[in-house]
Amino acid sequence: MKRLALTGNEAMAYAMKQSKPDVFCGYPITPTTDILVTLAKYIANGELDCEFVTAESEHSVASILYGASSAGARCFTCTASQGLALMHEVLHIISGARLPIIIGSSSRSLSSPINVHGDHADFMDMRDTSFIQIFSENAQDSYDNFLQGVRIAEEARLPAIISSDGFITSHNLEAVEVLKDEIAYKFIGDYKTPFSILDIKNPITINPLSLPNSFMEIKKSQADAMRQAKKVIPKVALEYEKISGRQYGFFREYCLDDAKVAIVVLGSTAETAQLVIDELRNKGIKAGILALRVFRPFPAKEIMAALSNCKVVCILDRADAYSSLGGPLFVEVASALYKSKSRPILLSRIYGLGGREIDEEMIKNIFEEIIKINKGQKLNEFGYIGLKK
Amino acid sequence: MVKDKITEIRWHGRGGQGIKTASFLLAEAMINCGFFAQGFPEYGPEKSGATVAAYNRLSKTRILTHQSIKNPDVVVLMDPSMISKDGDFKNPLNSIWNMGVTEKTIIIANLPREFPKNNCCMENIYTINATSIARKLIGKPIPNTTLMGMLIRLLKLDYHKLIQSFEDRLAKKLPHKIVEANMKCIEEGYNAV
Repeated sequence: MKRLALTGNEAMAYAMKQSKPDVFCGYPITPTTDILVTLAKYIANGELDCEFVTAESEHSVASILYGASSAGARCFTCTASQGLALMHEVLHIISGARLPIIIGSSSRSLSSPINVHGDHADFMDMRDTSFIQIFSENAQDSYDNFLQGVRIAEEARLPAIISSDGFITSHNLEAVEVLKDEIAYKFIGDYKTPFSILDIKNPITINPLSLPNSFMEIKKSQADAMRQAKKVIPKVALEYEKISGRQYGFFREYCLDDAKVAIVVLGSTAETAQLVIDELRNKGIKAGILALRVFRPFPAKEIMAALSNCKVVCILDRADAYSSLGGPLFVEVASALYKSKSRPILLSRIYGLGGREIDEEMIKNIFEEIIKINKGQKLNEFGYIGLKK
Repeated sequence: MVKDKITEIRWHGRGGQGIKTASFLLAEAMINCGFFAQGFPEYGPEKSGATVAAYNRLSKTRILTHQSIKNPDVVVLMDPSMISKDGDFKNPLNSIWNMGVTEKTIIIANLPREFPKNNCCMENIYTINATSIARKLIGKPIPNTTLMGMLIRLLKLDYHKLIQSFEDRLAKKLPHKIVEANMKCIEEGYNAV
């Protein structure tokens, strides 16, 4: 194991290099451009043998990868925000064809108004595309999650997106422990495609017209694949732990065992919040964090079990769903808890849109609100953090 | 010498002065020396000459926080035009860099003159004419490495271990002669305290 100084983007590019893609196709966009640049350097330096294709738009990137993956290539790209949104149409086509293309991303807000900073709007915008969606808290996670993402996607035969917080993680240089190339590649393995459109001895047609007599069965098998991915994720995590010593699950729990009040959060904010929990615990307040890692497939049963002893839980969303029902993560957690016998009181708080600061003080204030509710005070179910008055 | 508490550094300058490079150089060098560090720039409009900031956290243990640096231990000012004539950090003209600054904060300033003395004098002000040193040695007015030399002296960091890492990182981007010139800038900054 080597210890390197890498940004979140560089960590992801490093994992891409070690996974030896056959094709990388990309179009630059802030804040993920460094992934593309770093990978291009690896190819130029002779460290990686890979077909690097530049396209005229993200829609074309996804389309080119769709073709390359159909031919049996291991395919990666990177994008975020408007780029990911522009790919949207093709994302459904990729997942419907069950092609395990993997996107490395650092999440960014969606226009308008235009803003280049980090939030989770792009990540949430693709939640029904049947991509496996994994989120990272720091650069180490970006590296570890990408390696595991390749394995998960190829085994579940579904595409995946591995994301981290734009700028906060993507542009922060920190210590990352990387595996030796041979060990990483042994874990990843060669890509074994079940079919190739270029195999002239076994000619096939991919994605022909499917009319009402077959469409539903195909879509059901796609949903089954996502259910199956839930079994693949812990298996891959266990294997990864053996070679890296680092543990991963659907989510990371911090002081959640006996917590009465808790937050659910995605990404780097979980680490910042950890310091607040330490302070609260010192004061005897039983507070905890559920830091979600896997958003698709959504680990509903596991979340229900983890939060069942809490009295009040606040779900922090770095994106809005504009549904008047609270943030997108809130809605998912609320439905996961519907079957729970001891349902905690739930709060939805939107924070950090367009890169708005989220600091320890703000998280402390959230816990103050949660504690007040736990004592019987009535507060708004929906709200914002760090909103200017 | 890295304290038990996290050391927080804020760099302020203008686009083109090498502020991001400085924060990345320091973070990487500290990580290579076995410490934990963060180095991250603040992004706004990407224009040469616009005011920019970059941040460093240095620590013996893992750094969890991802908030901005609100109460810096050190502020490095890359551009003389960022400092008001009276030198009073409470002057609103210094609002670009004075957030969380107290009398105790170490200020390292690129100034062609002594820092103006005033009534609410800070205790730890260090100035150096980094622009002229850089002009002389590198041939370009890029003050980052000279100020870095001063910073590592003031924080009592391990000079010999760090410069090896600086040299390696700079050598990836710059021609040998420029790397050497930058290393001399670091040395001058280091010896100026």
